[in-house]
Amino acid sequence: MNIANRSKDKNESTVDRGSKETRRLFLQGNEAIAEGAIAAGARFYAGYPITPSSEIAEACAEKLPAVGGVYIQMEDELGSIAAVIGASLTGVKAFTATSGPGFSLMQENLGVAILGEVPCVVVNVQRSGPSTGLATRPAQADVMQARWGRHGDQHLIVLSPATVQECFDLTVTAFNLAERFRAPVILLADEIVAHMRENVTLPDPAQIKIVNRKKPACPPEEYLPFKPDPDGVPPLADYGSEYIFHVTSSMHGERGYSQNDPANAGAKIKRLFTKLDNHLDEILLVKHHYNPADELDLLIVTFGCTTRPARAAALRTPNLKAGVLQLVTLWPFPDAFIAEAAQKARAVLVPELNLGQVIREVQRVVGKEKPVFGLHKSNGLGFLPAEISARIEEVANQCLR
Amino acid sequence: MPALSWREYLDEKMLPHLWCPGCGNGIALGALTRALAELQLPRNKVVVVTGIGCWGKADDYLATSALHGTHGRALAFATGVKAARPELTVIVLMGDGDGATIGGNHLIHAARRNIDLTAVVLNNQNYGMTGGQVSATTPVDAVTSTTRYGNPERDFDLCRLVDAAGANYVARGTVYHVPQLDRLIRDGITKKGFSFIEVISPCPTHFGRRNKLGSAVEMMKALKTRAVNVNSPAAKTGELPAGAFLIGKLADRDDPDFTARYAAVQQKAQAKGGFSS
Amino acid sequence: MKETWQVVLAGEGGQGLIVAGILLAEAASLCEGKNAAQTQSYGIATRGGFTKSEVVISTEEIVYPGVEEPDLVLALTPEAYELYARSLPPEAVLIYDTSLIDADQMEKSKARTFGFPFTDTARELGRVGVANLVSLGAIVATTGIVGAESLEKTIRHRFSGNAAELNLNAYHRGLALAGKE
Repeated sequence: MNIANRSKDKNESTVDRGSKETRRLFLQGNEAIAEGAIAAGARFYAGYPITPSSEIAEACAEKLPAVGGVYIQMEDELGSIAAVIGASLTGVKAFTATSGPGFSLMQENLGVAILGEVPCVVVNVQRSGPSTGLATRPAQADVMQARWGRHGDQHLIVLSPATVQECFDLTVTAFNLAERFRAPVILLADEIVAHMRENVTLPDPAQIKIVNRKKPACPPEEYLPFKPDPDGVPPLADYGSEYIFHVTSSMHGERGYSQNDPANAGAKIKRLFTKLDNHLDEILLVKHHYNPADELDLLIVTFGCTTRPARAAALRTPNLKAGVLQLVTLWPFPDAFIAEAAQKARAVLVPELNLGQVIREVQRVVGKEKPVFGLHKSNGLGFLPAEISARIEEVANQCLR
Repeated sequence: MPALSWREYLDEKMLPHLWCPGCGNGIALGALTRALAELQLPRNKVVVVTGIGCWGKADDYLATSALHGTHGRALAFATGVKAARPELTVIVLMGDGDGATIGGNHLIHAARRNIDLTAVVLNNQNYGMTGGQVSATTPVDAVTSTTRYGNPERDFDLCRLVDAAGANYVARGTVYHVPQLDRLIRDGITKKGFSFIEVISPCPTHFGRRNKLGSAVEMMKALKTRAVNVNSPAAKTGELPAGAFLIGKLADRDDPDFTARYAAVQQKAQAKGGFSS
Repeated sequence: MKETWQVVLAGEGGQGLIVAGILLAEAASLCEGKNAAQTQSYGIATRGGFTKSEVVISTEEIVYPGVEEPDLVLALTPEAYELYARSLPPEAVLIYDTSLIDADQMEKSKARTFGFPFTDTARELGRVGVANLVSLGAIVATTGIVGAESLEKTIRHRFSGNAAELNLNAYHRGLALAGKE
């Protein structure tokens, strides 16, 4: 069934807005993520419900079977990500969604997806921690966990939405990048954007760019599931196709069988990095909420739920030119964009709902040339524009006047 | 197409295997390949999912597709494969540590869900690969590298556990009773729903040595002595000697499996258009 | 016409304030092509059973989706009334439930203040739980924040059968309370 043709969606516009296939809906962030996944071609969801991500599970439980897909509620998050990996290897686009505690439980098997090069998407709707913390409250404190949460050297892609529209759009992007690079992609949302409702425009499905994983073209007996093409990404066959292959969580050679050779191990780990780092032009996404050609007094670097209060605050600085650079891709870290923007600014401000994660990366990029200020909060509440305005004022008094 | 022999399910390039002399894993692997050959399953339609442990290395020697996951999670990986592609034959090879100790929760839920997987759990009563530590199937008072003074905990009866959790098929065999083991695995693969085959196997290197159970041959003989066929008169009267265990088919039901039940869910969702009004 | 509305629907859990906020936002965004954002309970600390739903409606892009300075407040409990009455500016609108709030006992608000018996009206209809829909009717009739028919269409879309009938009834009673229809 084509979801674009359904007529009895309570969220569907009753007004014709141009193309019949473009839908204007009023959705919650979590609902938009589920819509984005289905639009991207996801047909498998395994998960364990957890606040504040459960609406994604609920939407998938309702919608996936209607499009011939599968929703399965697993016994825990370790099992959820494991089932997602198993499903993806059969050629089905698969994903899961969770929040802090569940994301912690998924780390070990996320490592399987990285080493086994299994495309999949993991949504982490960040909530306030540590541990059970403030279960219904927002935070942005999983930025480093998303990047470094597993043992061992590895690399992966992390995207972060700031609006309900971005929840939809970036979920599609997350699947596309996962398929393109045969790698897990994390959508790092937060309670604020996940529970907010806004009008969104879902494009005509025919107009949505969909990327599917490269399949092998060689004869089955020649297939090596971990032999990279020149772009660093090996084609991936489906279980059940004419290609017979092994995938393992152990270090392995091109055949996918465990192998202890140090030279092989070193090269494999290196490739897990280069297959992403050699294609940053396809991966790094930022939004300049100002004219990037402009010189700024203050560059405000944001991601996720800090973006909108920061933008509101930046509009209210009559004596100061402030601009918001929103990091859409958090990992690999968008060094070049930040360096370029910082060069045209006198100072940098990084507001984040944690006690200092992205600011460390920004400081690493900007160096000692420009002052980098933080605005950190970790009490379960989001930023109000006024709080950011107050910090801008402090920064201005300190070094801009 | 000519019939596939059991050898064609083996990846002979990978032999010899890494298991110790006297270990039962090779026999269980042989039983599995003979069951696959008897069913003539196309190799590309079989996915073997393994966890971590001696028996979890078995996929290295199989010429089917395979997924070697993390310790304890093989059933969860396999659940994803099967739920996404019900037409595949998915066989899960786990040891007692993998399948019943760290992975015990997945075991009971796979049985409850009655998902059409065939789990072959090789029970050697300890963690063989890592030096013979205690597992959830180590008998009480037994000595392992982490129970030097005897195991203070009781062991699971895995077949009763999985039966109670609702699996369609539960059987126990040993690596001594090989023709029966071939049949039990074959029937488990054929059976719709969750199939569980516990294979009792000796670990002379660790468990046997520490508990003074004699040579590998003596441990094999003990399997012969202790095993009681479920259809025997002794089993029927329930008068079993101390140390005896039942072998054979212990539970056999035809409850609808996950695939069948989920197909009904998909039908309902599609009939409704999938969306609440 | 007002470009941007910042609306707070405040009361306590179980009064249907979240649904009311969603209906209002949907009417504006899906029927009238405006931008709308609905959020709940962050910004001001919650205490006791206090619950609120915030809606921002604008013909422009909504940069910050939360309410900073409300210009329309619905108060369904004395606590909610107290919290907002004092701080609202004269040009803002305060609508409250006279069934539950004795305004004579409270501090007078500088805002344009309107009281209606939402809960009593809902009780007459046989279901206290539809006080939220009665309130929406009064809000629409008093402020014109969205067209009466837009909200009606939204209610019809979201509910069906008996629920639709009851909610529409409640909504119309609310419109009538404030002198429309």
